[in-house]
Amino acid sequence: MVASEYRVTYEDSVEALKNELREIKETYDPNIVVIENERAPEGNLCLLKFTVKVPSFYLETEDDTNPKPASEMKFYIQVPSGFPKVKPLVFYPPNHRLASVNVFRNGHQCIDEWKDSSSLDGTVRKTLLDIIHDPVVTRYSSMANSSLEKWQKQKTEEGVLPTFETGRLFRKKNIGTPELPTRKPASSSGKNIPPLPTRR
Amino acid sequence: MSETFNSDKLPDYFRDFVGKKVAIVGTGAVGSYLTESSIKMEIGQLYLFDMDSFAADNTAKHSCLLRYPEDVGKNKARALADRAKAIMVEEGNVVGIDANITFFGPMAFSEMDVVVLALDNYAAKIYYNQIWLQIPEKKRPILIFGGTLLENAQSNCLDGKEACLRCLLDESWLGESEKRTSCSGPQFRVVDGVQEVVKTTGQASRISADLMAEQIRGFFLGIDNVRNRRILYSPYPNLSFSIVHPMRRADCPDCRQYHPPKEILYFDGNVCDTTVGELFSKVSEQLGSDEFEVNIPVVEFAKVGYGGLITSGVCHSCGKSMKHIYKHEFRTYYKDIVCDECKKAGKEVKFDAEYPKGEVIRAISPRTVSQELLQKKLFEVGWNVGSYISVTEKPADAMDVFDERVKHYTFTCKGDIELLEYLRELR
Repeated sequence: MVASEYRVTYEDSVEALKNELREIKETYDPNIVVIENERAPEGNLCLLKFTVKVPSFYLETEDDTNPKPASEMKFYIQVPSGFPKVKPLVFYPPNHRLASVNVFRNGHQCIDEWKDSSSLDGTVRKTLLDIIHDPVVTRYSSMANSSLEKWQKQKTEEGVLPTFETGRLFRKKNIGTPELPTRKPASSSGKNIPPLPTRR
Repeated sequence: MSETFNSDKLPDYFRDFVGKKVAIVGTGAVGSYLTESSIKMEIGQLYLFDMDSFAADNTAKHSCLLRYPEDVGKNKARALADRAKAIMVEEGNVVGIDANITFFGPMAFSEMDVVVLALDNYAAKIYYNQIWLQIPEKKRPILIFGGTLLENAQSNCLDGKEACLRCLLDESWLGESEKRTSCSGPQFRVVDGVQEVVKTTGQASRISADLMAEQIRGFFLGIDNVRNRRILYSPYPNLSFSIVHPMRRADCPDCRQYHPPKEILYFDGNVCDTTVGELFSKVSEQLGSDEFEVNIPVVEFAKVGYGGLITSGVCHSCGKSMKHIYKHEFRTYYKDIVCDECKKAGKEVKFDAEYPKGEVIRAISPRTVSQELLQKKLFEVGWNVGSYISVTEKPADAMDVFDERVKHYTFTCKGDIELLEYLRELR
């Protein structure tokens, strides 16, 4: 389908969002990443609660600069009614924010510039990787909370971070090994092989 | 027939143009020349939009309809309209509106035959393109836009069935799309990594305006191959005209995301006179229910979506808490979030201070709306003239939009179209 022929109505947006959520739920291991729908506040299409059962580090307040270990993290994604033109909001509970340079002191996750190509799936992925402190998403060049820079770099050097193996976040797909095609038996006499053309 | 027009010397078909409605958005150099050509073609209903004032040094590039020194300091659209009235056809009318194009929504232009964009920044052009694509196809006017590049001139005429305006732009040009490039100051371009001043004559602007006038004339006459065409002019040493048929771009984000609603519900009144409380009553009457949310309008400008109403925050001068702000994110600058005391004392915004973000809401409902907000006019809250009002009917126990009982409606104020006849200023 040519992109320009696909015109997104409000109903299409909602349907696309539903499909994207279903795909997100099918991507991650449900034993590690639990996704629940919560009551959406006014002006929002939906509110999703993620419980991520991985070790991580958290802060208790806006001014807290001493990360504490956690056995799981919760975060929320609030999808506004202007989505996808208006970006979603990703945030942590006030007393249990992720200790990361990518999280603002007010507990909002930095989700980078929201472009036409941005997606909810990309946002979820980045947040999950940040929760396990995967350095591939850590933005020291543009920190939301610079007070954690020294701590995060030191823990990464010590090997404490990342706190979890990235691959284990994802649901295992049982593809199986596909069967190889069977080879046809070659003709023993070679009678059916056409002669090569002769040079004139 | 007025004494300024002699029917023995002018084409008979000009008389058919008297009933046509043309909006010219941007009355700088190109727009002022086009206004002059339009009234001389006997186009009877002209609507001029501009938020700028005529400066002395605009004289060398603008149409002489605007006079130096009498019109210096006046709003361009209003001054041009006043001058044009003196010479246009007797049956005609020209309205000059001192306003930013971003104060208007799709339905404001739904009764125009042609809308011409003579704007100097891509962000405003794309804003209009997005609202144009949301006008129901049967009501969508022809869109003409163009301009100059050095001494080259062009004009594009689109009917909405093929390419849109954004299809014709290179996304790499949109990096600083809100940067204005002509009337408001010197024009800069980066050529081979070096920034240089670009100087253009009024002649190039006039030629661009004339190309636009030709496309308007061709469209009104029903000439084949006027629609969905670009005319390009290049001056000496190799004077040339060419016409191309631009194609829709497969990855155009505007073609993908912007389109008319499936159904539009109308109610009487306009956004400048209707309060939030009155809106709730009208919606409640149409839906037969009070269980709904009215979504704060979303405005996309320079690739950023603004969809919130700022309800409270802190003064960006003294840091004092401020409540009942009720300003739309898109229309709010830091200087607007200053308390009355600081305003009276003439204190300035402290840009280097870090202030906590204010509270922003994305919808309002009869259940939760404050008394202060009920009294506000829709335009004040953020709905533009001719904009759509998005309403979500949502039972109190519905979790989110995936509940099948949740329905979406699009309303608009019928009176917004008539508002253009007597609107002179919108701030």
